[in-house]
Amino acid sequence: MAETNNQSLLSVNDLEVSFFTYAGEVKAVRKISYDLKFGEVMGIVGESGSGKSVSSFGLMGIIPEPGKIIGGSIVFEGRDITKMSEKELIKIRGKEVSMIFQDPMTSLNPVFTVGNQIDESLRKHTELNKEQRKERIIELFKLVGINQPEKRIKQYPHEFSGGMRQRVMIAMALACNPKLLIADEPTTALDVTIQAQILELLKELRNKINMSIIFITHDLGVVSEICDKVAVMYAGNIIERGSIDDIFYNPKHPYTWGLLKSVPKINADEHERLIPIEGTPVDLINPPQGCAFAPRCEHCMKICLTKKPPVCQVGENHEALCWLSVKEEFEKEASK
Amino acid sequence: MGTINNNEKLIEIKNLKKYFPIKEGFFKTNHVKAVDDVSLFIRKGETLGLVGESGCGKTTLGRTILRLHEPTEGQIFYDGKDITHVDMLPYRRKMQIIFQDPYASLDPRMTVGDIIGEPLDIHKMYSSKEERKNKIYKLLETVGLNAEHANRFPHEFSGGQRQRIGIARALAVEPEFIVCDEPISALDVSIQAQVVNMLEDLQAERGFTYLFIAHDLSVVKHISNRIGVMYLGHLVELTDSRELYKNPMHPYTQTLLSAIPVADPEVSRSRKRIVLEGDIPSPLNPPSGCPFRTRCPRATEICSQVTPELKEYGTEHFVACHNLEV
Repeated sequence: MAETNNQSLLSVNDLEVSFFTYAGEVKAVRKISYDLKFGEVMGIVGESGSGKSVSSFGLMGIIPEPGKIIGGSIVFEGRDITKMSEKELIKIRGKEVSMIFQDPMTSLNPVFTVGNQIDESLRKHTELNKEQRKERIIELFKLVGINQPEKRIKQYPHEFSGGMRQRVMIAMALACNPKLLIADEPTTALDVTIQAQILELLKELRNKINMSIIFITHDLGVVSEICDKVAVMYAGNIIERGSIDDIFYNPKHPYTWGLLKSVPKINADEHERLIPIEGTPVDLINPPQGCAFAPRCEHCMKICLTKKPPVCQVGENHEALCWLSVKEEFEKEASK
Repeated sequence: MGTINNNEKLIEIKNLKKYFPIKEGFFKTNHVKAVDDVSLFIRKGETLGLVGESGCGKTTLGRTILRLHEPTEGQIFYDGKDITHVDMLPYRRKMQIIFQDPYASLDPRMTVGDIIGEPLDIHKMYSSKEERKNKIYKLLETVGLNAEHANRFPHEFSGGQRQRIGIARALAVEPEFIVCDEPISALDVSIQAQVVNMLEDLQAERGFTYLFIAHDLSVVKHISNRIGVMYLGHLVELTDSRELYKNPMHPYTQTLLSAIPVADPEVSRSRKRIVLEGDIPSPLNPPSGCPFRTRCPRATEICSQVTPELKEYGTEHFVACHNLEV
């Protein structure tokens, strides 16, 4: 594990993002808060539509139309990203914060060589001359494990396989030594053996250059491989967050329980029946008044349907957004 | 997991090959060897899992068994009868498929009722309109939807619900054998378990035989009796699902298993994983001899010359490799 000092690199407070569509306001992210220290890897897990990607697009100031940040702040190294102008954002994007996307097939431009595409951010953000930039690109290719870099930088994206393209994307993201890397499902489109290669690479890079990573995924297995801490998102809320040991061995929110129980265990000897989470995710145009998970929750109480649960400290750096935790605490107090 | 009552083979394929021609210039034609010399059988009531990376030919194999692709060479037997060259219409009632993409496999202009009713129409499985309607309602209920959904269109449903519609359509003709081609990989985690459980319940109730194709090994292990591992058009290992996870013998299976992320931090921290170098070779130009030799840590001289054949080690554990650690 890389060294983490206690300084906070990023802190997100009560972030709210909405999309203003014809059908109405879609509340994609509803007041989420978390912070990230230097060198830390945080996973964000959730189903499609839970707001995990949108919340991190906010960090780069690239929320697509008709989306808007309508509240909260994103403080990156003491400066609030939500209040920055486009000009200031350009200086941060690709330099201090960079991103790799899910689909390496569509996120590279097919008409430029890969070398040229990496060069673009170096031209923009650094003072290096042409020779130095070329050296830097070759160095980056070596870092991400692409063989024959001198030859490969002159090739076009179609000459690379999926795994190799993802390596190019990572090289591009690392070009200016970012402090924060946002990886949005970087391995979802890849095969398992290639996924293993990319995960190993990210782990190695994180130890080598000590950057922080936000890793967005729906795969709990990937989270347990690479992350230090996890935030579980459901319907635009972070419903639970804590260290990976907290989340995997001592989960407090019924949705987290459900997620963990609904994936088959590969090392199970006996055939165990899966326990699915019944029902389907909520409609974010009219999110329910109370807890968003209440309609699917087996532990649902009266209060869950009418009032949104508060953030509840259930351990050191471990929070859950659930009335059950409140109840538990209350009972503990009462028994004293 | 299916229960096998007797040893009867429902499906058997022998030396099945499927090559797709690729035109390279005016006179030259090359071939993609999507399925190359695969032999296997599936027992009645059994679930056979098929795993492998994208492009290994698992989907093509599934479709060729149903003769949605015409085989280039080899034979397919259904219940002992050779169906390689016969008229498939009577067999379509017995063999069905559930497709991967629930968004692309339903006609957006047809109501759900008509989608499920179409196979009933083709096979003339009702005597009155009333009966057709009742059959559709019953099918919808079987897959956990209700009768009022019959008049709606596919776009009104979520991914998981659409997959249920696809399953209802496959069940309409009361088949015996169903090819499940990655039925859950387009679905969210919490929905996947619902569909897997439903497939298992249906099998227990009606004794279906499944060919379950997926790249998610933990799900395949969960649902299958036996598992076949494919690499570049070849079947490299075939055995009981528990045996495969406990005692993988082919070096490719071993890497594949060690590459699966496990949702358990203790395990992820402690285990050592085998990371393969390089990518899958192009099926247009596969390596000579063993298809895996270019990435194999154990490759030797002989691997490039002779294609290894599936041989039995122990009971029903088939492996195709020259250099096994036995």
